[in-house]
Amino acid sequence: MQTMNAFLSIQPLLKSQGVKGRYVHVETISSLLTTFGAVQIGESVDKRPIHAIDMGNGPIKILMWSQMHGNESTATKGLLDALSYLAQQSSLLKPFTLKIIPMLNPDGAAAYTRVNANDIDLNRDALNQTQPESRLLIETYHAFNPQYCFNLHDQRTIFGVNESPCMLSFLAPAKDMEKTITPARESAMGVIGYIQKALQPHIPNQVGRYDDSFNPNCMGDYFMGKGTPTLLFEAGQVGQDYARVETRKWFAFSVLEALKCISLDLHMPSIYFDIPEVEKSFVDVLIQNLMYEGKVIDVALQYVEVLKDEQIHFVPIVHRIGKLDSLQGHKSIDVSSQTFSFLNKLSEGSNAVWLADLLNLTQYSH
Amino acid sequence: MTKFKLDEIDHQILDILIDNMRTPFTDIAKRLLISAGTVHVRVRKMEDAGIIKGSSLTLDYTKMGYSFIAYVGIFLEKTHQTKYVLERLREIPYVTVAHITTGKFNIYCKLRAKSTEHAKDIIFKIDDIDGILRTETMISLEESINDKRRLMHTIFNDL
Repeated sequence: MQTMNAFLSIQPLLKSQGVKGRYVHVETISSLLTTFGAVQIGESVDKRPIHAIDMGNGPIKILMWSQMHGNESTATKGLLDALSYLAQQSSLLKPFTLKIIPMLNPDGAAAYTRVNANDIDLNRDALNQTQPESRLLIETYHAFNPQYCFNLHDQRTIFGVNESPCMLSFLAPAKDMEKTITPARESAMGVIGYIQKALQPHIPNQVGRYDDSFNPNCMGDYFMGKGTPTLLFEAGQVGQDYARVETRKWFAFSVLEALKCISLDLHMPSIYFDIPEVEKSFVDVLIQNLMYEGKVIDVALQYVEVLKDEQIHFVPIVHRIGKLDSLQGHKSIDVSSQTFSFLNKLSEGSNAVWLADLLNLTQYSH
Repeated sequence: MTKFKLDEIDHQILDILIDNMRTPFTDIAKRLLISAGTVHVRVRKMEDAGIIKGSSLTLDYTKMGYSFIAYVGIFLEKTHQTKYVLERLREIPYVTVAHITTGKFNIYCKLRAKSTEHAKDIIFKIDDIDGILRTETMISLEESINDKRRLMHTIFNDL
């Protein structure tokens, strides 16, 4: 039996499974940080500690970081699952020296925001380096001098591949406008190709290639420019799994497969461009054929993620109104046979809790 | 099974035995105001008819240190390996129940273990069986219902 299949077998038994829900901040992971012997390497704008975990002492050095966007917690949970598994599979860890920053933006994590406490997107700060968190990442990178970087994120619910929702997407970012395939980029493409091959039997058609327009201010593009193969991992939305439990599992699996690919040199760059590019084709809820003010329309709802009482609540907002044939819903409901009396007006950008209630939609919080 | 007729006395005896198989016949006799001999004859009759197959031991697994329950779904490489895999599963005493199922998995089984660590070892043993592609584990958080007595009462009431 293959090692990664064994990961799938015992994933629910891993200690990291104690980290649950979408709201993940420093305190949530503190006992795991202790388990992994994490050390504080710096602090955030609001003086929260930023930790690094060191694992293994093999020849291949890999730097990984997660939650540089504070609200992208699935990536962190997937990462912690992968690390928990690695900690007990010495043969898998043997070739590597890993340095992992599991939560680069602890202020954003505490506030459940993408940005840091100064409202700066750390993944648009690679050149300016105005923030302590981005400076810390870049300093760590230079001091550690890794052979690979894994940049771990969550993506919004809007992404699909072909007709399917996109559970995971990957990118080997470009280092220039021309998207030159440098040796570093080819190496990252090769690892992603291998991950894609490993995922296909399990989650066919749910893997995408993230938008690859060049942005020198993104960390991935920056490190790629320095000649280090850098992989972007994105954990996405499928169906009604707003806790992203399934996504987390396959995200961790992908991290492990990436390591396997690197240690055994199984790169498959030719597969990379066969992976379909992600499209902004999905919305959270698509209400079709709604009779409203004498016209038949479609209404798309998007959830806004609101932190309240240590949980994330998914609050529906009217996203678009019209004939929305090009969109798909993680949940779609055709209401052509029903009539409703509307007490509220439908307008784009307005709160749609009343509409969700009217249609008996589940209200999620995780 | 040919339809077996139970009278009121049989029903009352069964109700008592379902709740506690070890209730002495003399106690049953006292509660039902019949003789111990009658109880003996009735029970014997039901055993001969194959209604009562025997009694089994109910163990407090938690007290014995086996507080961990997990369900493991097994994907086989090929379905003709089912029999072989089941034989191997039978060699693992911690696997207490196994079903061949429709749906996502080929085999679905229950295991009891001492701890998470122990469960992990058992699952790796299962993973090592030839013919198993991979498995998925679901941990039991709480065994809320594990009780056939309500079903037995219902079955006998309907008889």
